Amino acid sequence: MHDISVEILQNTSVNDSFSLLTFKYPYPVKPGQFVHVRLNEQIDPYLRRPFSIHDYNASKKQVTLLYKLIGKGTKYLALQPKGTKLAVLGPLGNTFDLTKVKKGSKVTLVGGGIGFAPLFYLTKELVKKKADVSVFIGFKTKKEIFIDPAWKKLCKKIYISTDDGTSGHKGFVGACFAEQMKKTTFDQVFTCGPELMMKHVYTLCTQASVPLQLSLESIMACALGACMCCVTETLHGYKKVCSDGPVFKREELQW
Amino acid sequence: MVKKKNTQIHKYSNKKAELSINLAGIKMNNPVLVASGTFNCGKEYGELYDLNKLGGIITKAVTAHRRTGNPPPRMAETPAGMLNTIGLQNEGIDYFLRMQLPPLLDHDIAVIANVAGSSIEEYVVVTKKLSRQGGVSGIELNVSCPNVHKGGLAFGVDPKALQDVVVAVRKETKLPLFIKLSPNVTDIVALAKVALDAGADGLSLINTLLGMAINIETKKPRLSMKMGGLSGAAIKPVAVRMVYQVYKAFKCPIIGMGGIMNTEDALEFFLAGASAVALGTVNFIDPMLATRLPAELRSYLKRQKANSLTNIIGAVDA
Repeated sequence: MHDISVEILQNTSVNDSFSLLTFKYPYPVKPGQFVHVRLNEQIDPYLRRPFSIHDYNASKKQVTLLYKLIGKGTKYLALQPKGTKLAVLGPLGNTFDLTKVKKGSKVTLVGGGIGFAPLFYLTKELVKKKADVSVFIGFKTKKEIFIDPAWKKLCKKIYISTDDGTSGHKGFVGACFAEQMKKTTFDQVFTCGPELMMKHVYTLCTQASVPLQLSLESIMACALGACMCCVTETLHGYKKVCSDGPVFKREELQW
Repeated sequence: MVKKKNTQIHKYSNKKAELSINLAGIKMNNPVLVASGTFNCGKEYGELYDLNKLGGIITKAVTAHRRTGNPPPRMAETPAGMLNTIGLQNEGIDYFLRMQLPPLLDHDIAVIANVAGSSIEEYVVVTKKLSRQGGVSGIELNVSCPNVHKGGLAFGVDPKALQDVVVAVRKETKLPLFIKLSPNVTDIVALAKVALDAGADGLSLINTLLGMAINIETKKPRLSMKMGGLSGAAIKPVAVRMVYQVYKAFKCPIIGMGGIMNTEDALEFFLAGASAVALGTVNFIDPMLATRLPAELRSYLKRQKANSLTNIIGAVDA
């Protein structure tokens, strides 16, 4: 774990909702991990913000974050030009567990909100293991849709849904995934997104006894396990999302 | 040959002596502590930097038994600050002594155990065990906890309860005893007097200010327990004022804390009367400040032509 100053190489909005931010990062990161970014030297917004790793280029040693413009922190970040210095603490948290994924394993990723951000890097690692990957992503509306072209190239089975039906499957991404589950079985499911969406996926996977890993979101203060602000209820009591997670297995949660 | 060696050692320790302090019997290489509750028991930040760079650590509050803490959400960001309601989550004194304290004692730093409880008996039990085992450099009493025998009123805002708990704990230990006072009182000097008269060796000033934040969309409080402790830059002027008032009245050893974000902030606390400072919320924002602060304090002293930190303690009135 290191707290280093990085320089923004790219910080561009891809549409009204999402932006991509790239910087050089000398430490290897794994899918599921995150970094804790200090937005400014001022005192408002005050705390750092945790961001999952959207993409990691090992040869260029570059990390790309995909973030949604939600609150004053992300809106402030979106204004920072190329060359701006940011303090980045990381790599933090555990990782998606890929040990049981084998060649030909049928693996499904379900993301919604900003929760699909870590699923691109995860897809890359799964494809390296020659898994059979399908991805379900939910957006609010057509204008919000952003899928990295490299992701589309890597995975032919990306299913989009929009809450308002302006593109792809109409309705929540959980419903889209549920329909697919009726037709086929999966060896492993990974999900990240709003709690309501993940609860739906959790219920479906529990009913079908499918292994599921969930990457939880939480506001954080220290992001390294010291302050105990970001706990979530598990079968083994409160666990810290930042350091015991952010990835939890279905069996650990009490949903 | 021998003489040369001695000179070298002397020179080295002289350099360090600029910042080393004896805080009511707690010897520290520098006056930089980390505040209770922001640093757990050091293990996590120990993965980020060498804890030997600190003067010492004030541990997460320890209670007689394991506490699971409050339900989430436990934290809300506010302008220049944050509210928290962790609820003293900790594994209890026995686990602390067996698992968390020993690794800390491998470092050349002061280890001050923060002790909390819901009753005087609980404070006494924890203090007894800490004193019996040895190892810790001192005790900091967290008196902001609700007193179950007084309908949940915090010990630290009730002069009689404060006196009773300090007297009871004082009887059980010869370790340097600091009381971390609550700022949620009208007259901090009056409460400081109660603590010192009851046998405290020094005071920690200040704990968090009771606050609240509301989500206007859900119309609900942003914390599970509705109210929580406000910390961070927003509370610094209140903290500096309280350190100043208490130092002026008693000239006692004070660990100053509350919203320190940088070296300049820390210096305000020394000038107001603190003998040491504790970094709290800043650990979440600029965790490396603790490692930079000693050198930056030294360069300030040099600029001010001061031989030692003690020259500037309380100097605002000099």
